[in-house]
Amino acid sequence: MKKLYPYISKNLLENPQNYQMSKYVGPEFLKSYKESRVKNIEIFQKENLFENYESVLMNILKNNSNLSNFEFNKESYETENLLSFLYVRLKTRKNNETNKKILNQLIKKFEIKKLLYLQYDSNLKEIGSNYTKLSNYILLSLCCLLKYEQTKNLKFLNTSLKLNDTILSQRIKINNNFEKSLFCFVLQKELCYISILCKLKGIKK
Amino acid sequence: MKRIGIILTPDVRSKAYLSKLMDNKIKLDQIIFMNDNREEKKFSNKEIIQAKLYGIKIDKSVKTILDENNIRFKEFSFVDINNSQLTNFIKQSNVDFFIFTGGGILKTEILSSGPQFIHFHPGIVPFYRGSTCFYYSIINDDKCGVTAYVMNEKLDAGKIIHQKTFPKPSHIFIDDVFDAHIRSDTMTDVLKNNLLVKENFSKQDPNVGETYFVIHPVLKHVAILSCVK
Repeated sequence: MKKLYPYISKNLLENPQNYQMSKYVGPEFLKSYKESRVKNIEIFQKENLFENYESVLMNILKNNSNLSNFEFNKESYETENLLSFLYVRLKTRKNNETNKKILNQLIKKFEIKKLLYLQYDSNLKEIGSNYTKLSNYILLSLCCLLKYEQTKNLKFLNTSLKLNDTILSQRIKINNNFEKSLFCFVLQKELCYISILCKLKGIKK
Repeated sequence: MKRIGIILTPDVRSKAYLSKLMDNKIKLDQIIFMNDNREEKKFSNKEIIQAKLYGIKIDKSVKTILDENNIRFKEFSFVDINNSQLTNFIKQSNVDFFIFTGGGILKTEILSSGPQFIHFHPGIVPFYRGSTCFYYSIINDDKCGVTAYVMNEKLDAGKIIHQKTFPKPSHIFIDDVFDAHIRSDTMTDVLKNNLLVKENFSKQDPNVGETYFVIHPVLKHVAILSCVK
């Protein structure tokens, strides 16, 4: 019987996956991963998505008044604003140590709890208990993929894969067309980077 | 002479460390075995054969290996490196260095109990700190490395004793067999070459380098398949 990619079948926000000592299955695992991602991309593509989501995103972010006034040294942050601001800074190569530190801290937060909260305080401690906003996971994944593209540091691709599993485990809850468009773009990027990596390492998928 | 001990746990890494100590006729001053009588992981014949090729016996329990070789050890009925009974015993042990094999993250109390704790981390620091580093270095560099370092409160950032690199394996048993092999082989180098000389340890800058998290199964498969292609 054909094996399915198993890491998106449970609700990963309620049952976080720690990925420790994951089993080696063989080359068929990469096939099942690819099939699962392609299937999900196709589901999104059937809907009325934005065509050039990345530039749409950049325009929205640039015109967002919350972001033009955004400062890193505030008492608390809306995670969505923080990640949007980070993405713009990464995209426009306004890269500095503060951006790097905040991105690394958010990655660490996600890697430890496998959750992202609505708000964080100035020390990036979570405020409140709401972790269900999927756009935060999509934006962090987008930042990670952009950072991977710029640095080829596998740490970022690794976190993006886990974020994307988490989002896919909640796929039916993405009801906003823009988020669907953006996540579809994220999945395509992830799949593309894995394909390039496999090719580079001489692995036939 | 420095007094050296080891703290064993019921797992494959301890079996590897014991195998290499016995094969190289290295005698330690104190052997501690944290044993909660858990059922130890069973391995396939292929894994057992591959481990044997590295000089590691993984088909018997740690307790059996100790008993069959008449090795004297102090046994505790828990696997918790921060247990106060263990800390108190270590304080009285008069040992300079303990080799750590696992059992949790060392807290301040045990770290300040007297001896220094040596960890064999499967990554060349500061470039590879954190978890499952061998997979990341297989993908990036087509090789793996181990760093022997003195443990402190920061993750993989203690003073470096020795570093050794290994070619990537040509088999799939990386989590248990290859990892245990490269760590225990590096331990043998440190002990045989008397590298536990504090004056020669080199400091790390904890702000330089990269910390990795548990590898995602997709990247893990990329790493393993690149070893056996």
